[in-house]
Amino acid sequence: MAFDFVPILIQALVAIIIAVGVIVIAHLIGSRNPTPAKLAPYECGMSPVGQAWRRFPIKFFLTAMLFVLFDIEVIFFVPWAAVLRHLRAGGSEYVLFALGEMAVFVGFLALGYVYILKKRALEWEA
Amino acid sequence: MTFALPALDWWAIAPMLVLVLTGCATLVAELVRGDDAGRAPLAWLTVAGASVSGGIALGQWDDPARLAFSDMVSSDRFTLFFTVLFLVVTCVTVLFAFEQLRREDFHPGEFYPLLAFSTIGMVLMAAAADLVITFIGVELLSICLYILVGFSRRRREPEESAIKYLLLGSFASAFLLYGIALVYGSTGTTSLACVGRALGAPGGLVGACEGAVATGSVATGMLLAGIGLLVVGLGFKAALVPFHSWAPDVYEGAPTAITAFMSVGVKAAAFAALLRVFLVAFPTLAPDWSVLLAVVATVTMVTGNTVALFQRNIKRMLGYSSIAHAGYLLVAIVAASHAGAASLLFYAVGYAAMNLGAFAIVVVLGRAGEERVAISDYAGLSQRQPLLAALMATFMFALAGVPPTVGFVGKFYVFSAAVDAGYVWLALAGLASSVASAYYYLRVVYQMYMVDPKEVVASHSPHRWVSLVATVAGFAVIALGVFPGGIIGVATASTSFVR
Repeated sequence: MAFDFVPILIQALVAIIIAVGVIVIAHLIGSRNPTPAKLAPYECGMSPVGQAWRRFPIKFFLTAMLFVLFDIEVIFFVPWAAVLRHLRAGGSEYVLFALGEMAVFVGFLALGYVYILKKRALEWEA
Repeated sequence: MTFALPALDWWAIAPMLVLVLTGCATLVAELVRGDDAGRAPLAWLTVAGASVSGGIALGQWDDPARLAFSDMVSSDRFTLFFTVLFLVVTCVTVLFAFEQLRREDFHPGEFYPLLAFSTIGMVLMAAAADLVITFIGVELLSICLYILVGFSRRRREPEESAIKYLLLGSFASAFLLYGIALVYGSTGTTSLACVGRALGAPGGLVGACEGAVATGSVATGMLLAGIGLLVVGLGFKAALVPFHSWAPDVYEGAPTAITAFMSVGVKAAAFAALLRVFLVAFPTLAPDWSVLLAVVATVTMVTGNTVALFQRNIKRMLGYSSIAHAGYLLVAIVAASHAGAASLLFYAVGYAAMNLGAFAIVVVLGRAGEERVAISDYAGLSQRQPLLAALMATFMFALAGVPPTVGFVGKFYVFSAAVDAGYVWLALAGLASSVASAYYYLRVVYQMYMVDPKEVVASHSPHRWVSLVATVAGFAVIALGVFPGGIIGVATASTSFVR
């Protein structure tokens, strides 16, 4: 029974080894040639402006949160689409079942989308 | 790859489906009419949906008990009993909220869908035939509650209680999930009945149990650790000591309607889940966990009743009192018997009547801008509002467990189940602490009847629906205390799966 979980243990070990290993190797064999530009915080290529600890509009959070929500929903589409092909072998009732399930899911998703639209959560100037 | 179409027993979850539609309908209705005048339809829509759902649940009473949706939910009398109880609590909460939010002039329509969705979570917790469904129920309930707790954004304390509840609640969810993982790791299944069978429990409604380990070959150490974590996770929702520290702050900061909802509905849901999990999955391990739960119950009763003695705020006092009552309810699970399970269901109904009644009075006496929740605000209430004072006194006597109220009968059933199971010391501890509790309940009565009002307050006409709730609850408290037979019969029939 406990043996079944050994692959998970191995995966965890590999993850730790890679994470720690990359840092250690970079530390050991990397050459150091610091310049002021290299020491500056990485800001996607822009020159950094001011502190990160300042107030900025909460709309960023709202938009980011809604994006994550709808992005996560897509995770359900992929396995559904992967399985749908196999369901065709079972006959039309299987496909209809799968389509019905997805219709319900998309229905709820659409309701949520209409909700945030009507609540004007996506309007930046509102 | 082959598939079998899952059998879709929609009728088995019809009460929940109606609630889903109700929640979505209120959400859409709120969009269509976003102004404050559109709130009354939302409240009535929620009550109507809950009534239809409850009607369906009552209509299913004579249906055969069965597992539905690949053995995920059980449709039996236990589920139906708690469904009806939760729906009553939800309807009462709507009435409270409608009165209170209108008074506060802050009435977002999101309140009603959130309430409907959290009710589905509670029903799922009672209906769960699988630990995963228990977890989904807990999360559905909790996520809605995190928002509802911080609902009065005009004041400062709600923010504190909401963030406190969110942080501690997430911790508790993690414990619950870890407990489920350990139970799965040791038994190879998350289905409650299959875990029970792997541990050698006698029959009942058991599903397919694919992957479950054979009876008797369970890794006991891992399983006991899992059970311990399940107690932490569910005990948090039920506000058992030592997982109670959030409760008084949250109860104080939340709108009174939500405080009532949490102290009655959420607590009952947590106990429904505890009862399902422990008496379906782990009945054969009762000697191991009942001692642990007995200690937790004792500490809970003593702590709740002791700290309540020092409270000056009636919502905090009722908060600690509800912790003590969680201890009484846990005594019923410790008994691990059919009589104990039935007494838990009876006590849950009685406690709902007493506590909702008491909160109805708190709502009625509150006014715009100030909730008037200091116990000294109740001074001389008998002179100003004799009917309300009499009702409040009834609820206080009932909570203290004075005959002929339901509080007495409920405690009697719970403690006699514990004595039958050999826990005489637990029953004695419960009785002793409930005698001590009379002090703080009766202090409210003393304030209402013996102390002159400190200020002349213009009496206002209380909201008729909340007053109606208080009156009905008052009758129920007495009627169930004098004629407990009907409900105890129903409760016994609802717990027939406990052996």
